[in-house]
Amino acid sequence: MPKKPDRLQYGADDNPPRPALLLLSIQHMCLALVFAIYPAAIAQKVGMSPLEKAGLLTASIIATAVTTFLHHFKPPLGNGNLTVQTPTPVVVPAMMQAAGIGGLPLLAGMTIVFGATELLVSRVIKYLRAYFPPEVSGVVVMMLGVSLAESAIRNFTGAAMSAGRVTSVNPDYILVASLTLATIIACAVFGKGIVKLFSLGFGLAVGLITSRLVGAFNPVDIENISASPWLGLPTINLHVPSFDAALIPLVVIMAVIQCVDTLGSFISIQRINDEDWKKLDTDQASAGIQVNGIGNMLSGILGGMPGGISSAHIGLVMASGAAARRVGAVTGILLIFSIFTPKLVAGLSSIPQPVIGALLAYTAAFMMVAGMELILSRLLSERRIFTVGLSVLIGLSTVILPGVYARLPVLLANICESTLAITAVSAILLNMLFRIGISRRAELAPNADGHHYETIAPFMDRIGKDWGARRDIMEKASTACAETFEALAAHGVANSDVALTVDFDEVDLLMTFTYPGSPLVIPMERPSLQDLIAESDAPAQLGGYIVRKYVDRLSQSRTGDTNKLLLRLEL
Amino acid sequence: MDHVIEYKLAGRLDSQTAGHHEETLMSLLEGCSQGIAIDMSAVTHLSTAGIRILLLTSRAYQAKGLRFVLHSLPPAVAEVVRITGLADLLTLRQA
Repeated sequence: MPKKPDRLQYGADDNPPRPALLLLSIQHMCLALVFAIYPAAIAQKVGMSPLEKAGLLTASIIATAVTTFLHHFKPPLGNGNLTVQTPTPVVVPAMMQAAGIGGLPLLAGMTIVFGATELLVSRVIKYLRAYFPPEVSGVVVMMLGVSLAESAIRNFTGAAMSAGRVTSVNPDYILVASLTLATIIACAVFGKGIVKLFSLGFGLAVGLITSRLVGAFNPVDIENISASPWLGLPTINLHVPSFDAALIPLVVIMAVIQCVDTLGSFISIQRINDEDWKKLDTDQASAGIQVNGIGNMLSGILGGMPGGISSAHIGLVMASGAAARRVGAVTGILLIFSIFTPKLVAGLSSIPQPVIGALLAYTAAFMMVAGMELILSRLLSERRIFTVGLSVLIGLSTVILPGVYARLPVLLANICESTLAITAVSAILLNMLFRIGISRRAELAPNADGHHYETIAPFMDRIGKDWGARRDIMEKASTACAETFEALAAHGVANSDVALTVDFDEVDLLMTFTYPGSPLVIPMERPSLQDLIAESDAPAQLGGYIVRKYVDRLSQSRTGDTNKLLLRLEL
Repeated sequence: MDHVIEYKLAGRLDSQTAGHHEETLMSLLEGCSQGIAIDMSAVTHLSTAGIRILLLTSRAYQAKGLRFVLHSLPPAVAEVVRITGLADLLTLRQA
C-alpha cells in the first residue's frame, strides 16, 4: 500500500469535496486545452482550412477527454492515478511530415499506427527498458527540441524563404512572438504556484491580445471565430485513414520513445503518491500505456493526433497537493463538454503564427535541456560519451544537410531524413554496440587495512561509468557498502576477510558480500540510539538497519562457515 | 571562552576516524562556556561509528549545560541523520 505523503492533501483514492473537485478539474481542463497548440502547429504548417483545423482539434480533445477519464480507473482498465493525456510534442515533426504528404487521412492513419504500437509495447515495456537507458532517451528528447527549432524560428520571425535563403522577416511577428515568449519565461521563472504552472496559458493570452493589436491574425480565422456559436455541435471530420508503409517505421519508433517517456512520467506520479516509493509499479505503467494506445487509436479514427501523459499536469498535481483520481474523471467529462463550444475550438485553432512560433520555441528550449539533464543523470564513460556524441552528430546531419539521405531506398530515407528517428536508431544501436566487451561484474579486492567510504566510492564511480549506471544509484551503493563493511567489523568480521562482488544487469545492481562468520542481525525497526552507547552489538544492528534503508532488497544465505549478504538496488 | 565555538569537521566520520574526532571535540569542551557549532559541510560520509561519537560528545556538552549544534549537513549526511533518528536527539540548523 502506498504511504500518502504529508504534503499531499488528496491521495489517489481520496474523494475531495465537490467544490474542490470541480475547481481542481477546471484547472486541469484549462491546462489541457493549452496543449491544442500542437495540433494547431501541425495544421498551420500544412496550411489546413479552418474546418480541417477545427476537426483536428476536436478529435484531439475528444481523445484527451476519453483517455484522461479511462486513466482514473484502477488497473487493468486504467492506471488508477490522476493522469491527464494531452497532444504530445514528441510526434509533432513526424505528424507534420505525414500531414504534408497525405493530408488528414494519412495523419489519422499514422495516429492509429502510433496507438496500436503503444498497445503492443504496453505488454513488453519492462523488457525494453534495458535498450533505452537514460542517455539514449535523453539524446532523443534533446534532438526533439532541435527538430522543433526550424518550425519555431520560422513561425517566430515570419521568415519568407526563397531558394533556401531568408528573403524577409516580419517585425510585427517578432514583436508578438517576443512578448509571448517573455511572458512564458517571466511566469515560469519568477511566478509561483498556479502562475508558474499556467505560464503557457498566460503567454498564449498575451500573444493573442498583441496579435489582435498588430493584425497578426489570419482574417479568415477571425471571421470563423465570429461566425462560430458559443454552443453547438462539434466539428468532426471523419476520414478513411490512409497508411504509408515508408512512414510506419518512423511512427513506430516515435511510439516506442513515447512509451519510454511514459515510464518516466509514472515514476514521477508514483513518487508523488508514495512517501516510501522505491520501484516502478510496472503493472500500473503498462496499464497507463495501454490506455494511451486505446486513446490514440480513437484519436486517429476521429481524425486527431497522438497524445501522451502530460508532465505539466503532473506538476499541477504536485503544486496543488491533489492527486485524487476522481479529478481525472471529472476533467475528462469537462473536456467533452468543451467541444460543444465551437467558438472555443475555433479560437484554439486560429492561434496566430508568431504565437505558435513562441510556444514552439519554449517547447524546443525546454526539451533540449530536459534531454541534457537525462543524459547527465548517468555516469558517462568514454563509451557512453561516444554513444551520445555520435548519435547527436548523426541526428544533426539531417538539419545541417537536408536531403543528405534522399538517395537511400524510400523506407530508409524516411527514417534517416527524420532528425528524431535517425537519432533514436543511432543511439539504440551505438548503445548496444558499446555494451559489447563490458564486464557486468566487478570485484573489490579485500584490503588488509579495511575498506571505507573513500576506497569504495572511487570503485563504484569507475564501474558506474563503465556500466552507465545512474549517479544517484552508485552514490547509494557506496554508502550502503561502506556501512556494511562497518557493520561487519562491529559484528566481529575482519574487513580483510570480506569479498565484495558487484553485478549489473541494467535493471538491478547486486552487491554480494562473502565472508566467514555468522549472519548479520538486520533489524526491521530502528534500534534505539540510547543502546548505541550502552550495548556492544548495537552498532552492528544500527549499521544493518541503515543498510536496509538504503537498498531495495536484502537477503542472506549460509553455506558451511561462509555467509553471503546480498544487497539489491533497482535502477 | 564566552562564545559558541565554531568547528569544522572534514572527511569521513567512521570507525577509522571517529576516535580522532572524539578527542578533538572533547578537548574543545575544556574552557568552552556557551557550546559548540559544528560545520558538517565538508563531511563526506557519516557511519554508525560517527553517529555514536556525535551522541557521546553531545551528551558530554549537554551535561555541562552547553549547546551542541550541527549545521550545513550535505544531503547524503542529512539522509543518514534522518534515517537513524539522530535528528530527534541533536540540534540541527541549516547554516
